[in-house]
Amino acid sequence: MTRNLRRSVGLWIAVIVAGCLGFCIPASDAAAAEAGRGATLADLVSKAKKETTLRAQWGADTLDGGPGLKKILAAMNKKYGLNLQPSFTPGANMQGMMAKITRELAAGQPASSDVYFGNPQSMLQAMENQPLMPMDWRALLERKFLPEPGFDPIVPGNIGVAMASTLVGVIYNSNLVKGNDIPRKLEDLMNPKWKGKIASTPYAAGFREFAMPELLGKEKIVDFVKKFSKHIGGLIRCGEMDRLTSGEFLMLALACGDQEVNIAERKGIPLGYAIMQDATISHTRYGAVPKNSRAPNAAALFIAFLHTAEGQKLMWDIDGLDFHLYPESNQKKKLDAAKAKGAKVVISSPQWLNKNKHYDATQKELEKILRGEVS
Amino acid sequence: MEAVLRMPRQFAIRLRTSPVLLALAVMPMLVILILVAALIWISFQTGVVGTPKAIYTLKNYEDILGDPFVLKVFWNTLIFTLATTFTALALGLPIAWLTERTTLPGKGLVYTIMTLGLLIPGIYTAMGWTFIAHVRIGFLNRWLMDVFALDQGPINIATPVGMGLVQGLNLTALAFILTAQMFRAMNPSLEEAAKIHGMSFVGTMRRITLPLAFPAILAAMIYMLTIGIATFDVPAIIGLGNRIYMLSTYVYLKANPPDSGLPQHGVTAALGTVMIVLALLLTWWYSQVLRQGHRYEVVTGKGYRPALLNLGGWSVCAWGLIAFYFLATKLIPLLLIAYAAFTPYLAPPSWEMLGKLSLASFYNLNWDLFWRGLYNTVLLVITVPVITLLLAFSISWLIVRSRSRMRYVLEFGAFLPHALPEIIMAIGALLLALFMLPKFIPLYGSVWLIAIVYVISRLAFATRALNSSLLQIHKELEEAAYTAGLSPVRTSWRILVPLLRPTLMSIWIWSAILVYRELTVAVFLISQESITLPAVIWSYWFSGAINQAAAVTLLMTLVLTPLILIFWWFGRRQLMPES
Repeated sequence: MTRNLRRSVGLWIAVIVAGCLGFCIPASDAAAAEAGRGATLADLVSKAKKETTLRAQWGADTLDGGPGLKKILAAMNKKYGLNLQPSFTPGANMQGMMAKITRELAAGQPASSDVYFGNPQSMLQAMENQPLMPMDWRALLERKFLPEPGFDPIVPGNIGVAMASTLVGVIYNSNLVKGNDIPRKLEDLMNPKWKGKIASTPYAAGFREFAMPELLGKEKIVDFVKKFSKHIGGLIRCGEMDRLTSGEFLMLALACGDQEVNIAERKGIPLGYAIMQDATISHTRYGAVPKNSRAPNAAALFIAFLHTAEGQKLMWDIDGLDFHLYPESNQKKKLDAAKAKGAKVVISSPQWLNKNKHYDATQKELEKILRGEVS
Repeated sequence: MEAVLRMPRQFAIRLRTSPVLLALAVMPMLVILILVAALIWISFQTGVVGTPKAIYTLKNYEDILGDPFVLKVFWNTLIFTLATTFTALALGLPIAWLTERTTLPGKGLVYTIMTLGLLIPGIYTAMGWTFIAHVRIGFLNRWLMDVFALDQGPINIATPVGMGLVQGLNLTALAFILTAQMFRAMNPSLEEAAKIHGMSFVGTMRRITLPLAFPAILAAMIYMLTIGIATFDVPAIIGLGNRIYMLSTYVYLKANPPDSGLPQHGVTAALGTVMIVLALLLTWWYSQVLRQGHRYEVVTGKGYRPALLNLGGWSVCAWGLIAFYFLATKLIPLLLIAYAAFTPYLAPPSWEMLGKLSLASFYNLNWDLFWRGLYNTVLLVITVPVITLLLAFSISWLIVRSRSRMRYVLEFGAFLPHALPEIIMAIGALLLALFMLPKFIPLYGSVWLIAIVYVISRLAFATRALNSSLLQIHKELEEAAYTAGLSPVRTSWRILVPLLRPTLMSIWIWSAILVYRELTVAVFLISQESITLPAVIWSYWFSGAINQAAAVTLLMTLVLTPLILIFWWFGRRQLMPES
């Protein structure tokens, strides 16, 4: 290479690098990180007026995805006199989204989702990695919760608040599974006629809780899941109801909750739901604001709004979910009915999972078995 | 070649003072090197990768090479890739032979169908074939179960072989394009001699035609094996839910765990490095086959005219094969996708369901997401081909016109993206943007990160096409321009670009359509702001909203139609043989 050529290459590399450096990201917005501390609802409303867009990313079925976010935001804008625009992108599952937000925070990037919607498992992850903004949630909510012994709806460290609950069970195609075929116990799922026709979830929904000592215990569930893994036809995410209505799978066991069936019943979609007699788990849904949210005030307001009577009704209408710690809750009626039948009921929360020290390892073991990595 | 590359001293001096072209040529090489280096570097890390807290270890390699499950994934990928290649050649090769070496009527239509085959996204065929031949919901299986009173559908595409069949249908058009040219150029004199000596048609085929075609077939086979290793869309749509994992989907799951696990970037990078090695080996084999191809050269001089075999009544059978291909890969999948788009929930076709057809999926569509996807896709379709052309032109010009030894480096660098599967470049770009660049360049989550990978991955094709065209333009025209006082850039603009216009247009449209349909890179790199239309379809499909995925696919097909028509209008003259 000639000297001039080398000089030119060197010069252009320097120009390219210098050009790249010119795009340096501004330092993370410290003001945003402080948004929730000591804020009142009025503060949030006032600050949210400066935030134009609320970006949300979660499963396309969660809160009815984009159309659901639009409806909720429209009602919220009306209530608080805002003009926030929704921006929804379907995303990974709840734990996957928590991992993504944590990774983005560590890399100094803004969160993919301004507001986070998660489950107890993801909130447990958040307790370890702290990617969520602590907020005085009780001060921000309009209403007080009904008391529930052994269950605190606020995540330790005030990093999230429970917003909804749903009962774990089996979802089935009601055109193809009828009468006595509807499973009542876990063992019913092992009926040879269902071989290859049942789906489970890649994250071992339900089984991971059933494996805790307070319920059926690890040994029993690991044994069952080993047999069950050879019996199922595949793994789908909770919410993939098209794969049940199409007949690709006849059942999803265990599902994350009954919200899809609540909606399906209203629309005449052939889906049914069965709670297992072995035990009953109430899954909890949490709202939180990532530390790297670009609209932290709007995000907190979104969560606060979903706790109002109007917000709870809207959530029930669009996603079949509401929170059993409010008196008008439909889920409360279901939970009370399960308790009245004498079922052993556990309300899943990060606090409860944290108490079960082997929970995380058990979930990972069950996931490996379901994926077919361990026979 | 040497004579063409040799240039007068005055011209060479001009070249040295043309830093713009040089910078444009060097820049993509640097990006490729950085992407590969980042991937290899992270493959040796665990802990918080890309930071000082990372631990350097061989554990990622031990994990993937010592895990029986990963070995099963490699095995699945091998079966899938072989099935893909076999299916593509089993259909593409006979159609190419029929089109080039026989009196088959309607050859123009064959070329149109095969061009369509190149342009329709793989995700489309995969979705369509799920509705056709899924073991439980495929209408073909249901029909067979009804007719033969079977308990279970006899066809199962949710296997490595089944998925290979579907991907093979996707690549049939490519097999056709790769082998049609060879059949067009093949000298028929040996076949005619065999015929005179009384050899049967089958004997001639076995002993003359196929051995002569062997290098081109082998080259096409290796090329498709390279593609098969990294194919994402078909294994993702059909395999993921059925627990059939390929290398590409396994890498995807390690980067985006569907369960409670955290992303394993070190393992992802290690798998990527193994894939690079496999792809490089296959590419080396490919280049060896091409290099030895001259041994089979049989084309004669200007008077050469291949004799065409008179098909007679067999034309009907030949068209039957082509019609089967068209129905299986285009029409039936499209009809089933349309059916899924218009049903309120997914259920097997029936009179009852036909009565429920509605626009509900379109009404419930997240239109904001659709417009965002379309906006980003259009942005990429407009910018990527232009940047690709600019960079490719700079590289090709230096390769063809320069006397510097550096041109060999440029040539190798430009060919490198051909050997690197897109999925590898996407992972490299993701890791780079996430862990190494964020303090300097805010590329993570930006559509420009996707654009960079798209540009790099299309450079090999673009430079190859431009090299050939540039070699045909004599340098005297440029010398005249220099003598008249034009700068190298203005000379390129005023002399070369007009002369290269057909090639440039062809590369532009081809790149635009590939960008429009591309999914693999997008699923790794998309964010709220940078989501593309194929990624919108994927995100709907992956989260179970199959009706809405079908609705977006239908809309995407409508948007794609004008692009395909433009491509066909410009491209037919280059693809079609002269009549």
